[in-house]
Amino acid sequence: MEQLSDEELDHGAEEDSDKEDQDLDKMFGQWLGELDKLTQSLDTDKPMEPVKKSPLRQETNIANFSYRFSMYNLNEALNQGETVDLDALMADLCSIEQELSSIGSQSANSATMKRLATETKVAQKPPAGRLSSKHSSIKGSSSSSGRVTKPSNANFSLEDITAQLEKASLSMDEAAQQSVMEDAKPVVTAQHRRTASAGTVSDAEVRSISNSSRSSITSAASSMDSLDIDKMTRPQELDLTQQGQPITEHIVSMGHPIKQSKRHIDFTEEEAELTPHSYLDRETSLLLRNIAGKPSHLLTKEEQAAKLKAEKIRVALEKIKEAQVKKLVIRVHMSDDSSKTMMVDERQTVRQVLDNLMDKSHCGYSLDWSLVETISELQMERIFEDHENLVENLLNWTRDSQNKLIFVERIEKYALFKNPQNYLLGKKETSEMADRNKEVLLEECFCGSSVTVPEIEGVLWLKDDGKKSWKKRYFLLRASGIYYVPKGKAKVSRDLVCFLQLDHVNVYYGQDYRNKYKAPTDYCLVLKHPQIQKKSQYIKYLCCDDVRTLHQWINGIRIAKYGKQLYVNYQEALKRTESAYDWTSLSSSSIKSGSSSSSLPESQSNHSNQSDSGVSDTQPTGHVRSQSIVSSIFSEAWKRGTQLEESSKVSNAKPSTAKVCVPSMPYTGQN
Amino acid sequence: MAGLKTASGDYIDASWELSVAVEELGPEAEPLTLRVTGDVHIGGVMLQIVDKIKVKQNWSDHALWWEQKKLWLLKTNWTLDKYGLQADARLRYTPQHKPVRLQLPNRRMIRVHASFSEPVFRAVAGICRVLSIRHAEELSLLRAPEEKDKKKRKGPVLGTEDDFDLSGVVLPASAEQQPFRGMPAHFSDSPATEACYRMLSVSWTGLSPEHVLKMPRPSNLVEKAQINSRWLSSSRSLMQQDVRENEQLWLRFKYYSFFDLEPKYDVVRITQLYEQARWAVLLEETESTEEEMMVFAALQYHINKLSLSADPTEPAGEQGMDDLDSALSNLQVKLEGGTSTSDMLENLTTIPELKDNLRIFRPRKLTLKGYKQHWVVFKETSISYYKSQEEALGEPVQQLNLKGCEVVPDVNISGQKFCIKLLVPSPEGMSEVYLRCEDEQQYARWMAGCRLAAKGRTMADSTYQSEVQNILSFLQLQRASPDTPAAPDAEAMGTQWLVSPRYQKKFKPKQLTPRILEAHQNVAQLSLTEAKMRFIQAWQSLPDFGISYFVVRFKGSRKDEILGIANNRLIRIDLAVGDVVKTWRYSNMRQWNVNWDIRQVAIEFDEHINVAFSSVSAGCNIVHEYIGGYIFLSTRSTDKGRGLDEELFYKLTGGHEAL
Repeated sequence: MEQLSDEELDHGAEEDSDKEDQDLDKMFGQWLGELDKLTQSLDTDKPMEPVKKSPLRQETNIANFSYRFSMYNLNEALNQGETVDLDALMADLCSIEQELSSIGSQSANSATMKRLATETKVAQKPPAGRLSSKHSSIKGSSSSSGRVTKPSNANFSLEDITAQLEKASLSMDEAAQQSVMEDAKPVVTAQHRRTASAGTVSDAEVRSISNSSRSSITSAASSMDSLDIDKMTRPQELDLTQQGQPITEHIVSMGHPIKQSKRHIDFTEEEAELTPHSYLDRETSLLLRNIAGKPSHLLTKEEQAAKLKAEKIRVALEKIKEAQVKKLVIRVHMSDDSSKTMMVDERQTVRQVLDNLMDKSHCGYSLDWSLVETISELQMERIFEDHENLVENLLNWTRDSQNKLIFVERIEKYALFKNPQNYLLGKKETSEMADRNKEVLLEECFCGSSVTVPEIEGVLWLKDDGKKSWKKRYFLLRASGIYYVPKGKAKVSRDLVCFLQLDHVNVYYGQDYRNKYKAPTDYCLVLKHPQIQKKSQYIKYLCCDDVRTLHQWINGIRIAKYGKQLYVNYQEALKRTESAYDWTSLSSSSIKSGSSSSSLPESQSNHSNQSDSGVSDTQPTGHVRSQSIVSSIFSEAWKRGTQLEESSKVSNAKPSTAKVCVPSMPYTGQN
Repeated sequence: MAGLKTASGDYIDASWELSVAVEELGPEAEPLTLRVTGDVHIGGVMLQIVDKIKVKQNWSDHALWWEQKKLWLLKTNWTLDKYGLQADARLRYTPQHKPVRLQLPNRRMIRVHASFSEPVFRAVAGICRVLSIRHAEELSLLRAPEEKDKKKRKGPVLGTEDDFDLSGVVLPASAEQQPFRGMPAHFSDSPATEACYRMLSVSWTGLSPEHVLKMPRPSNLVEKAQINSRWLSSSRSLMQQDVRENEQLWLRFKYYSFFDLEPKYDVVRITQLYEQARWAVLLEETESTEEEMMVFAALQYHINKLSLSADPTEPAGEQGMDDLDSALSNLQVKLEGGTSTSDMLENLTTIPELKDNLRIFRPRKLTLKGYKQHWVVFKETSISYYKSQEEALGEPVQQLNLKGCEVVPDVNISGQKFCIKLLVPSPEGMSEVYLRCEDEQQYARWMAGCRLAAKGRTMADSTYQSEVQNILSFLQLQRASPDTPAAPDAEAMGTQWLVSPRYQKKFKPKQLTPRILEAHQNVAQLSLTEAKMRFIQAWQSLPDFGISYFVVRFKGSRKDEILGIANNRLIRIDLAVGDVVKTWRYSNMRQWNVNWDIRQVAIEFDEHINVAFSSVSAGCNIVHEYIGGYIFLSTRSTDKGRGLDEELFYKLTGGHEAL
């Protein structure tokens, strides 16, 4: 657990320094992310048996014994005066170190490990402290502006919340216990969303002294909501908690000065972390022998812990095997101006990285999530195709590149498949089409023995090399490339002149070329070899009269270039979104490792009940049920809260972030 | 003669005389006359005929053909009355299967027995069974063009060679054909049929530029529409369409919707499809651009080379291995693969390198520097060059990583110029570098290395050696000319025939060969079947692919226009300019009718769009059948066990007996 928390520390530090509004949903996201990881590490019944994990899984990325340290975008961070990336990377290195030592000491040498863990912690303390002080200053300024409106606006939901609070209080017990461990980590590092919510609490508290106590309830409620969900989605974790933390105390702590509760949690955190190890190693082998083959819910705490340990060893061993694989530390920018640092290995496709990001940021599953490469120097961008290898593409960037990788929803990505009639028929105007016919059309185009490239042709503007002048030419798209009709010739195949073949180039959207290159319109597309990063005569600029033509060309070129692969990508993405459709299934997908993959809240609670029963039989079924209801109510209220909060932020609010699911990244392992 | 009455006592039973011509008795022989009554069954008539002929032979394939009505009397239990047959009827007692001369898609002639009594749809199915072509529904028969062909019959014209004869072949009764010695069993009867199978399954390599030049080439859409007037109707028999015994017919893929091409089962089908595609490209029936033509040429060259080296039974052996054989060879491959991987491991430490003194030229603005000698080291995917060999331990003048770069040959054999042009991408753009080699051998080694490196592979790759050989053999093509200076055409023989006449004229062989060579590097690693499939796919992705043209007159329009029929849409095309005016897709089609009286096809699409036209260049039944045929083909299911719904086909294409 140590390395997790350590990494989280830095991750959070980075978050914090981003000075972005620390929303509860981020915190929630963070927890879910962590939950993912923990449940994953728990889900094997036979811990000693090596199980092959997909590289997609998070653990595989937690630490690496050999990876390529990447400078990409790091300079950028440094320029902004952020040392956080270095911290994050430091944490990665530390975790690697730890894993190494944990392997080395797997026989019984727990003492070394513990020490190492503590050392790391100590090493991480200073930045944390610094950041927390930083944070408090933000707190001060922000409280004066946007947050003031919050309590009153959120009022309408409070009745519901308070009504549900009592019902839920019993089950909160569990949640609190759970939260202690999860919760504590962020707090101990004095950063993170948790602190953010805490900040809200204290803010509100100031006001509550003067007039009402409602605002503090709001905060507490929303925190509890998170706790609750946290609990709900992480039933298997319960047995890992080493000490019972009465719920009352926890809730009360919300109302208390925040420093105190922080300290308190801080303390329990230490305990939680250290206790398992203190006796795990002694008995590991014995326990492991005992638990082999036992269903997970029948295991005692010790056995569970032993299993966890064994699992970690196993994971570490896998890492050694994986050591050959190169890793790249990348920085992904979110649509809300925050950014995440994560590690990708060279085998990962864009699809896998996207899945990872969607899982981690709880932004909802949508086909449109894309990784976009922006080349600021050339003012162009491209949506990576799902099948592409991310690392390969990023290696084309130069060392001092200003390029960015953005995780954002883009409807253009798969618009081609949602409304194929607008792209494949070569018509000038948009039209509607029955779904059945769309399917037929797609089948026709992509499922034959060869892909039919849409017949796209028309006048486009071509930029002269090295000049800011544009000439009209009649261009045609064929499977073999882009052609144009030379002056004075007819539009027959034999007279066409090849403008470009598509094997070696990618197609990019040009941005604001009206200013940059005096383009006739802003609907520009660019064709260039992916390795070219600076102005060059080998970059071809084309300009369309309208946005529709632009999209037709870009999609046509994509079809000509990638062929059926595009359709395969789409279907895969579709499968992915269908299997994890919305909030509820999001949490169920986290549980999935337990065995249930249902997306119904009902079955979820059943499931959590089952797995809980072995450990804490005292918990009545009814509570689990009510819990899920409560949580859904909370999340509703909280959603509204966030929305209001977002909308109240005058300057920073972006339309995309005003949604329920704010893209954020609780990616603990690598940040 | 008919209706004559004699004075015999049989007068009362209303009998009459039926005259039947029997070809086997000789052309001058008088027709047989039989005395029959209206209630005699056809079977009975045939028995009488056989009795009368007194020739001992197998008559089982014979049936009665009613000349005036163009009708086969195949229902032996029907009476003459039921057929409405009377004494004035002229009947022929003739075999239902007769030989025809078929020109295959590869323009070779073959003699086969075809059913003259069944609808052409079935006759084609029968022929395709003999030829081992699956999915016969995609093919059909055309009449051979008449005069044009004869005019051009000077010099070597394809289709005039000796026919391959498959008319004697007896198909096994079972539907499942057992492969024998790598080919369908019925081909292995005699050396002649084996040769025939080779002709079917291996593309012909003896093509010369004249062959291509002699073939009639359609020059515009109207000419392209001509061929479509010759299709035979699928729902009527050959006999009904006045096809005579031994007449020449063309067998072609008619519907451009190739279902489930499977290299394992479709050896002949893929070869013939490739041939049809090749001819469509060479004769510019399907137009292509220069770049596309070069790819087609490179593929043809590659296929030819592989076909030449294929020994007669080998390609077949490749395809039709039975289970044990394939299992054994798989095992062998696995074993070999095992050793090769261990070799690879050893080789990991020693990736082959190339080190040579080469002349390097880097074109830059405002410099006139020529090639300069450097010590060049090619390691993994990078080329580093040094001022001299001695300095190779220090820093190179420059290092180029070739991964993702473009490699362009710049070769002139007669000028002894062997250059490799490299376009190496870098953040600043592409940097151009020329490497000049001394001779072919050196060139081939470096070129192969560059090509692999461009794909991110090193010279340790197993394909390196074959790549070197490929390059060398292609260079041989160009070297042919100095060896045979007497024949200036010899060089042309090398590559000229690979492109259509237009490009033969446009480029000198000297220009053409390097361009084909350049395109060839992308296909050089393909196997024979893969190359054919690639060719077919490239053909399919041409914009003009799969469109059958008809000259039509739209209702309400005064001028002739072109109707293009493709597998998913109808296209209205301006006859003069060739521009697409309008496209209708079958998926929007509600219904279509033919008014046989005024010979007009009327089609109704969604949203009450109605289109009506009459066909000018071809019979309206041909247009009708084309559209119906595509709709029929789109109903094919992927369930391979299912046979075809023949009834549906006739329903969609037949147009009933209105004709």
